[in-house]
Amino acid sequence: MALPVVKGTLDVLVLKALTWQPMHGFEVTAWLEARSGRRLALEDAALYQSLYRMEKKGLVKAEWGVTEHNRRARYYQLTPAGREQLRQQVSDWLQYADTVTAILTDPSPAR
Amino acid sequence: MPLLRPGIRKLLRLDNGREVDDEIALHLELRLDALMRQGLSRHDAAQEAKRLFAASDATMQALRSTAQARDTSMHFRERWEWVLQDTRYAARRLLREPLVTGFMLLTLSLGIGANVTAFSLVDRILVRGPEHVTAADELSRVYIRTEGPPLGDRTMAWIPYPIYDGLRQQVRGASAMGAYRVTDVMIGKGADARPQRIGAADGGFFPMLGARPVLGRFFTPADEIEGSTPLAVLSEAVWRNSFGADPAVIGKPYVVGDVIHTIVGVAPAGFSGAALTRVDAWTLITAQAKKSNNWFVIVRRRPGVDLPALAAEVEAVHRRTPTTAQKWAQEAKLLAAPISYDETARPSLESVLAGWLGAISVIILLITSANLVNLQLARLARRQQELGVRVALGAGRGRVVRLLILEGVLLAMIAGAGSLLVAQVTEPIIRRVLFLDAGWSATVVNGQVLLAVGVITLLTAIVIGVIPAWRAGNTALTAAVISGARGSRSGSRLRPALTVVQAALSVLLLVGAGLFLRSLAEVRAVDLGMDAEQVLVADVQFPKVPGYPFAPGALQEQALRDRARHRQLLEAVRREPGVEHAALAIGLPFLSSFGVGMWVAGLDSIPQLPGGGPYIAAVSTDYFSAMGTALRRGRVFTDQDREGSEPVVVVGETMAARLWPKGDALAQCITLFEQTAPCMRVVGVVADVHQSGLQEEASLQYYVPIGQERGFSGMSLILRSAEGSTLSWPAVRSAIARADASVEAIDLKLLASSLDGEMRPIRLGILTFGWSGALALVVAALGLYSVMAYTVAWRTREIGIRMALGATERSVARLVVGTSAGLAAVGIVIGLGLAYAGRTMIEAHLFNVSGRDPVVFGAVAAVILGVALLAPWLPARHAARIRPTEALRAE
Repeated sequence: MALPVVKGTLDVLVLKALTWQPMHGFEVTAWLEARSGRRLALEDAALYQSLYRMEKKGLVKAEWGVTEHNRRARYYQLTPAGREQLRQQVSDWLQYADTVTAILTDPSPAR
Repeated sequence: MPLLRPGIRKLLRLDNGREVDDEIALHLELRLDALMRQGLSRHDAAQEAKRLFAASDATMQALRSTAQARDTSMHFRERWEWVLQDTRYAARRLLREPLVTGFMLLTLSLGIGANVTAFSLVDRILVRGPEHVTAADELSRVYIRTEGPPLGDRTMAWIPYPIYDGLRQQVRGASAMGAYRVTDVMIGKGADARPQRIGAADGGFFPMLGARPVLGRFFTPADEIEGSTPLAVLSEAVWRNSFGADPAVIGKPYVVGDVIHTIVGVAPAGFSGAALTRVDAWTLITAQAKKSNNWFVIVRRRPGVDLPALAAEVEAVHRRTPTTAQKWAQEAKLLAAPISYDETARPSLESVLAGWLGAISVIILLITSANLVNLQLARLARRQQELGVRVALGAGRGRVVRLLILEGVLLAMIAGAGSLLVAQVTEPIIRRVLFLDAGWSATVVNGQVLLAVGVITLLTAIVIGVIPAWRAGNTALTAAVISGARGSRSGSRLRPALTVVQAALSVLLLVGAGLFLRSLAEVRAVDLGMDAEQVLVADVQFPKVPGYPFAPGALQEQALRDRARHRQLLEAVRREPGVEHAALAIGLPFLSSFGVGMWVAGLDSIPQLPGGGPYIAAVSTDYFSAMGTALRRGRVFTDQDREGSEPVVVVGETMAARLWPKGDALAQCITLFEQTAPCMRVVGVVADVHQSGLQEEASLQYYVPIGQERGFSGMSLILRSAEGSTLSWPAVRSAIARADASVEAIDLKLLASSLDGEMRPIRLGILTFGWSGALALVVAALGLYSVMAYTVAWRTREIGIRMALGATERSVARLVVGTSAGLAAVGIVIGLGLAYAGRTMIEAHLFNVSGRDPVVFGAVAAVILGVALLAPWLPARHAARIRPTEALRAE
C-alpha cells in the first residue's frame, strides 16, 4: 500500500535527490521510487510542479543537456540557496518527526 | 523557415509551452521504456505511464503556467542582477575620481536645483495661482476700458462698486463674484507706526475663493448689514507675530486707522487673496466704501464658460444695466482677463519673471549638461584603452554602452536628490530678492516638485549618459587596443560643438543682461525735472479736531491747524544735521495731484494736453531747491508769499509756452478757484516735472504759495539731503517726534520709490540675466580652456612636426588661439541669432531700448570674443613650448 506524500515534503525529497548529481525529471522520479521502495504514492506531475516552483525561487537551476541515449533533457541541479534550504528543512523535519513520534509513543493512556 | 526569429519567439515566451511538452514527453517515454522492461505490453505500459504521471489536459495546463511564472520571474531577476552588477561597477568608476565626480555632482545639483526652483515658481505663479484658492484657473478679473476725457485711453482693474453690484446680480456665467482692494495703512501709534497691507473685501470674496480659515471664520454676504460692527480677518503672520498665535483671538479688537474692528477669523499661512502679494489683514467692506470707484472684481466662471464668453456677458450686462456710477464709467467698456494679469490687463510682472526664470534655468541646465558631457568625453578618451580591453575580453559593445549610460543615470540621480536640497535653499532667497512682498509660503517638497525633479533628472541622465555612450559605441574601440595608442580622436568634433553651444547660450543670456543695463542707463538719463532720489517725503498725521470731517467748519479748522503745526515742524527739521533743504507741499509728483478751476484772460479755454492737467500744487519757500527743480525765469516763492499777501503763481515751462506763446509769461496773470477771484500774477517759470512716471507727455503745471490755495489739502513735509549723503530715517522720525509730541503717525518714503514699479522689471532683468549670464560665461570659458588644452595634448606630435618644419612659437600659439576664437565666433553668431529670435520675451519690459540694440549685440560679441582669446592662453603657451625632438620621441 503506497503512502500519500505529506504536503510540503515533496520539495525536500527532490532537493535531497539532487544532492547526488544533476538529474532530469525522470531520474529524480526513479531515484525517489528506488529509495522509497515504491512506498510513496507520488504523482509525476506534482514532481514537475515542485521542480518549476523551486527553480523560480532559485533553489534549483536547470539547463538543457543530452541523456546517455542522446535524448534532449532538462537537467536540474542544486543552487547554494537550495542546499541551504535542504539543510534547514531536513533539520526541521527531523525535529518535527521526533516530537510527533514522542507524543504518539507516550505510554500514558489518552484521556 | 520559422515564422518568427528565435530571439523574438523567446522574447514573447512562445517557446515555453513547447519546452514543457518536450520535457514531459521525454519523461513519459522513459517511463514507458522502464515499464516495458518490467514486462508490460506497450499498450498497458502507455496506460500505466499516463496514470503514474496523472496526465490530463488540466495538469499539463497547470504545469505550463507554473513554468511560465518561473520564466517570467527568472527573466526579471536576471535583468536585475545585471543592473546591480553594472551599477556597482559604474559607482566604483565614479568613486575612483572623487574630485571630478564631486565637481560633476555639484554643478549638476545646482543646474537641476535651479530648474526645480523655477518649476515651483512657475507652478505657483502661472499654474496653480494664489495659495489656498481652489481652481484658480476658473477665476477672472474684470477690467474697465475708458476712451477719451476725463481719464484718457486706459484699461484699469479698478471697478466702481455700483457697476460690480449690477454684474453680481445678473451675470449668469459666474458661479460666484467678489470685490476687494488692498491699501497700505499705518498701524500703531507715533514713531512706532508701520505701514501694513490691509485688504478690504466684500462678503462674496472669501466664499468665491474657496479658502478655509485656520481659526474662526471668513466674511459672508450676511455680514454686510447696514450699521453692523466692523469685522477683520487676520493673516496667519500677523496672528503669530502680533497676537502670539493666541487661539482665543476671535472677538478681540484690531485697530485699523481710527476704526476698531472685531477679529472673526485667521486666514491660513500664505493666503494672499486673489493676488500673489502679501496681505496683513482683511477688513469687511463698509457702507461708505460702497460708493468708491476703486474695487478689484474677481469672477468665478461656471464650468463650461470660457473667458471670452464671460467677458462678452459681462460687457453685455454692463451695457443694459443702468447704475449710479459716474457717466465715464457707465460709458466705458468692461472686459475680463486671467487673475495673473496686472492692473492694466497685461500679464503681471510676476508671471513674466516666472517665465524668464523658467527659460534661464533651462538654459543653465543645458550649459551644465554640455559641460558634463564634455567632461565625460575627456574621461572616455583616457579610458579608451581600458574599455577596448573590456570589449576584447568579450564584455560586448552593448555592455560598455550600458555602463556609460548607467554612469550618467547614477550621476543624474544623485544630483537629482541633491537638487532638492539646493531648491530648498535657493527658493526662499529668490522669493525674497525677486518677488517683492510675495504672499505665498515657501515650497515644500510635494508630489509635483518630486515629479518635476524626476522628469528633469531623467532628461539630464539621457543627455549626459547617452551622448558619450553613443560616441563610445561609434568609436572603433578595438583599434585602441591593437594600436595601444593614447586614444583616438574620440569626441574631437563633438567637444568643440558643445563649446559652441555654451558660447551661444552665454551670448543669449548676456544680451538679455546688456539690454536691461542699457535700459537702466536710459532711465538714469531721463530728466524728471527734479532729483527724486534725493527727496524724502514725510507724511505726518496730527490729531483730528472734534467732529472731523463732517462737523461744520471742521475741515477748514483741521487744515489751519495742520498748516500751523507743519510750519513749526519745518523749522525744527530744517536745523537737523544732514538736511540741506526742507519744504512743505500740498500736491507732489507721483503721490497726489490736484486740479482747480482756471481762467486766463484772452483764452476761451485752457488747452488739454495729453499728459493731463493743469496740475496745481501749493508749496512753501525753498520747495524748488528741495526738489531740485530748476528756475528758468523770474523768481520762486519767498516767506513773504503767504495767506493774505499778493496772489502769485509760478508756472511750468510748458504752461508758460502754451498759454503765452509770445514768451511774455512773466507779468501775466491767471484767475484760479472761481472766476470772480482776484487775478494771480505769474512771478516765475520753472522746469517741467514728471507727474506720474518715467515716461509721460508734457502737461500744464503751476504752483501757488501755501496759504493761497483753496479747496485741496493734504500737506507733506519734504527733506533733501546734502549732495552725496542720505538722511537717516530713524533720525528724521525722532526729530519729528521730538519737535511735536502730538504727532500720531509718520510715514517716510523716498520720492523715487514711486518709480519702483517702473524700475522693477529693469532691475529684475539685470539681476536674473546678469547673474546667469556671468555664470554661463565662466562655464563657457572653462569649456573653451579644456577643449583647447585637450586639443594641444593630442596634437603634440603634429605641432612638433610643424615646429621642426620651421613654424615659430608665435605661429603655433596663434593656431591655438585662432581655433578657440573660431569656435567662439560660431557660438556668437548662433547666440545673437537666438537673442534676436527671443527678444519678444523681454522687449516689452525694456526702457527706450530696442530688443535688437546693435550696441548691446556688438558689446556682447566683443566680450565673448575677448574671453575666447584669453581662455586658451595656457594651452597656447604649452603648445609654443613644444620642442620637436621631445614631441616626436614621446610617440
